[in-house]
Amino acid sequence: MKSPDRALRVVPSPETPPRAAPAGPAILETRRLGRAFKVRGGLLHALSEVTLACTPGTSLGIVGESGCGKTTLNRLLLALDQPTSGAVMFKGKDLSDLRGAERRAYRRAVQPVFQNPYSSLSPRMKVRRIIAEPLSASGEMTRSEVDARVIEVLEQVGLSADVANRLPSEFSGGQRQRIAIARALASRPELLLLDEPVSSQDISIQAQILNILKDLQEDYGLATLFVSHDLATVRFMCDEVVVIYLGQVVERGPAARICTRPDHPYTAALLAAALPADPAAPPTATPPMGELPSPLNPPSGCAYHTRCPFAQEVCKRDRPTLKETPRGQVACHRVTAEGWT
Amino acid sequence: MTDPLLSIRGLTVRVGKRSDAPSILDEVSLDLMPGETLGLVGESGSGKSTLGMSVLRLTSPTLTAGTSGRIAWKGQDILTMPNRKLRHIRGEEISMILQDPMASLNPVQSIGTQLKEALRRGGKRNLSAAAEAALAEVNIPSPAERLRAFPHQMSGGMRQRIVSAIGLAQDPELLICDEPTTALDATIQYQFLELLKALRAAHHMAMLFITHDFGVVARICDRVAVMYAGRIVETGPVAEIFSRPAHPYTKALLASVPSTSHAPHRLPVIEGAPPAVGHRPQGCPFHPRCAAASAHCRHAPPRTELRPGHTLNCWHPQEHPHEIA
Repeated sequence: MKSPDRALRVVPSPETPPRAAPAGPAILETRRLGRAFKVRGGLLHALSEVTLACTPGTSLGIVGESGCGKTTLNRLLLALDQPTSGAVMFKGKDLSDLRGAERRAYRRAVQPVFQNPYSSLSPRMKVRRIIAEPLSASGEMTRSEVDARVIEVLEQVGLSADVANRLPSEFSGGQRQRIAIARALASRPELLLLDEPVSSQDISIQAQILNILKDLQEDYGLATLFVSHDLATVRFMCDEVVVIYLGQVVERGPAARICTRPDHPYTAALLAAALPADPAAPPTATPPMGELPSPLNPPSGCAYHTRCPFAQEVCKRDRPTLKETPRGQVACHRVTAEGWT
Repeated sequence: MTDPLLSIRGLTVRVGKRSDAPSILDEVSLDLMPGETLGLVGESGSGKSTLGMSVLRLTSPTLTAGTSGRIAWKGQDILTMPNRKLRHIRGEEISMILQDPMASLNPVQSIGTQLKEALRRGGKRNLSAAAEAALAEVNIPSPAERLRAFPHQMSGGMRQRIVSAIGLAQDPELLICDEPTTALDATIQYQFLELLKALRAAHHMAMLFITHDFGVVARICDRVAVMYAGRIVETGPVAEIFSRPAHPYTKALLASVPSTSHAPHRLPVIEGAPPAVGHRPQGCPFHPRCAAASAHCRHAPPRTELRPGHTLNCWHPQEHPHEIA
């Protein structure tokens, strides 16, 4: 068992970039994580049985549409909410058991970047204070060390030092998102939780932000969890992808395989819906159909069967389990280890 | 050759009347033929929504006061038309779908009330039957019951289909769509675009499709006009713009879009950000961010017609050297 002090020392620093970090033990992992909300008329299962791990130097993508539980997952990983089943583990310890120094180590090692930099940055604070606050709060750095760190992280996201003396209102959306990333980097985290970090940005700005995030991943061996509705950005950013539908993992596998040869019909529908910038693209064999059913009253059997072009009787009756295949994992009655049946 | 349905010439929209007021649109010209779908694509602040609103004279009074140029709808200038006449064009001949259907719909009126209001204006008799048919046309299940429902009882995709049904109630010849799928989930966007294509064919409509998404343009448009800082920088048939973009901005923007079919080591980027209103650079507005820029680019770029229908405003068109048509 690592002591908290030891955990602090393994935080990567820019002076010693552990390039191509080996996939060591997980920084953050979930074990059969579930969250149900009490609502009028019963229980709403926002997330069920989600098991995943964020390991150093790797990027995990979480893909799904609105209402699939992405935000609930993010909140649980940030300890902003408590699971109703299963657990989130930080370096082998249950998040809900972390106290004192261990909890501070977790807060420092896991940093979020949110979707909308217009609401995630305080309009009244100068950029210097926005970035310095988490550092000053830890009380471990002198003022001049904090100032130096602020300049350092601003440069890492492609902003100049004079930005520190200005207010967020002076910046465009793309620059604000860079500031939000700089704040996340300030405490030398091991894992960034990125919740749709480019969805509100213009196309030319999206590419800039995505490249910065990829640089950070590679240069400092940062682990990232990238939550997105867009398979194309996930393909660019991530090594592995987990596809979620109505709070359940339906497929997981390497990003390149998921985006070219998906196993689950829902993944195939998402892929067809990621419209390529190519008018000559051939029509898809698996066009998306129907709408998301109410999570309050989810369909019997496979939750996707109401929208699935390949659904059979068994799909309406039995809930498929997540099976191992040579290609990853999939929860579908129509897919076996050998492939499509 | 048939006359264009909509013909815009030298449209300039300034923030206020003064001739030195900052402009949102600068000398924009375009033609839209009957039945054609033209995509207006650009980043936020490029002026694409202002252009769409100007066609129906729906811009704010400050912008309306600062509007000059000509917007000819079937030969008649919309900018100088009396309000009485314009009222008949709005909804009857030109209709509009906006990004947020919840903002377009009245939250305290039933779907039926709102739909019937538009149908009545369109001169329909049997309103209940017509309303049911209109909902059925946009694939709303059990339309008779849905007429009694309120907007908050429906999903985003369903609301947007209802807005389309209201927009089409008077059988317009032109439908202006301003980012109608941006707030929708990907699988719902896909289905909504398919529905729009079917409606376009059934109603023989032309469409002005405003979007920032090249994937959507590729899916639904015949021609595309790329906008930057209040100007159209390149325009042409969709197949040609996507396979042979010649303006450095179009080319760079297309290259920077991530794809599901391959993952480059890094995405090609355009450095910097688009200029804010009132800060459009001299000459070609893109030159401070352009990799191909030279001293020429500080002066107004020439308009070049590369091939029939494919034009661009640029000093340095990026024609691919080893491409033969």
